Amino acid sequence: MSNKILIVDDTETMRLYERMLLTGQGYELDLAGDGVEALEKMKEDLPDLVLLDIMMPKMDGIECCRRIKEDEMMKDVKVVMVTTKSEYERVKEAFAAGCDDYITKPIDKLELLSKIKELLRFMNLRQLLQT
Amino acid sequence: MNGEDTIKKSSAGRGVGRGSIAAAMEEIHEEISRIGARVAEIEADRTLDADERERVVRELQARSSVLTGKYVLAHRLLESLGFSELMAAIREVLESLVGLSSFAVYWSEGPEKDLLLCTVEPPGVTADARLRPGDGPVGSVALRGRSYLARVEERRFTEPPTPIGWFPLLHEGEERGGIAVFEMLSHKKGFEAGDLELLEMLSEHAGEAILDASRRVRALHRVESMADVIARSGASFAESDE
Repeated sequence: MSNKILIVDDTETMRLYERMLLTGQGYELDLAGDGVEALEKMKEDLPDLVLLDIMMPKMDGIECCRRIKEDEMMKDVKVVMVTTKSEYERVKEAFAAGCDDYITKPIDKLELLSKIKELLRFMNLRQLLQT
Repeated sequence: MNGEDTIKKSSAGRGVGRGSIAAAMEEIHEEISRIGARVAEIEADRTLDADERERVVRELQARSSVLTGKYVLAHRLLESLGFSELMAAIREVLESLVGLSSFAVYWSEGPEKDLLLCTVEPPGVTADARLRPGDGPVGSVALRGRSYLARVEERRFTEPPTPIGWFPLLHEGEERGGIAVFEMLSHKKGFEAGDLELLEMLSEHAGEAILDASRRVRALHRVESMADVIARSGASFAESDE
């Protein structure tokens, strides 16, 4: 069964770019435009990993990450923050909120794929051991 | 969701007056697919040394990142029909895919006219609202039809800022506008080959999209004006009937 990834970004450009980078890699992809929409989608259909932009209207990535990690149903979902290096202070906040990793813009495809693969491999192994 | 299928279908029938963008997009899509197939082949090839395999895959994926950026740029230029929507798309591409933190986009109403400021990022940056080549820090690098590049460490701090880069926006080979780059994201030391490819594509195709969007704005204004005239005529007919 393929892993599900939710891409969360308020810009059409980044949603499309991340979707393109992950297309053909064997993942099931879904999109959301902000933190509120992401949480709503996650309640309906829980992904394995969320690619979460930090700067977004309505609810930013850090608050969204905090809510994911505080929720009993969602807390095991892996969260990768997407940021610029100039937001380094916010990356620290994101780790405090429970994010699993981060990646900086402009996104390098190989780095993105490696991080996602590593996080999901670890998660899939743990699920396998639990069953 | 199958990303590629959705993207290709959504682009069908759009981009009237933006033919060269659609053609470029098709070519890029094919190249991305070829690279994807090549990566799969190499990853499956157990005769290759692991280090060599990693090196080749790294190179191919780096190329794929650049091409994906170009595809997204073409897609955004094709799909953004309104003028402000198009400017937002250009801003997103420059910020997120190239990694610029401060820039301004200029456009002119005619080939011989002054360049007018369309958008500036971040919004507080002082940039000339009207630009004449040769005048001021931006005008001094906005030489007709040519790109200008400076190293980040050569940046001169002036008010308004002096650009570290100027990329003309062309239409049918003629410069109709340009992008003045003031700053890159702090971790970037300068323009990389991939950035220049994206900016070159923007230079070549954004003009076509901006001109198309401007025509739409003018056509919309004409329709609105006609609607006003009709509404007013309707009112006077009603008055004369009474």
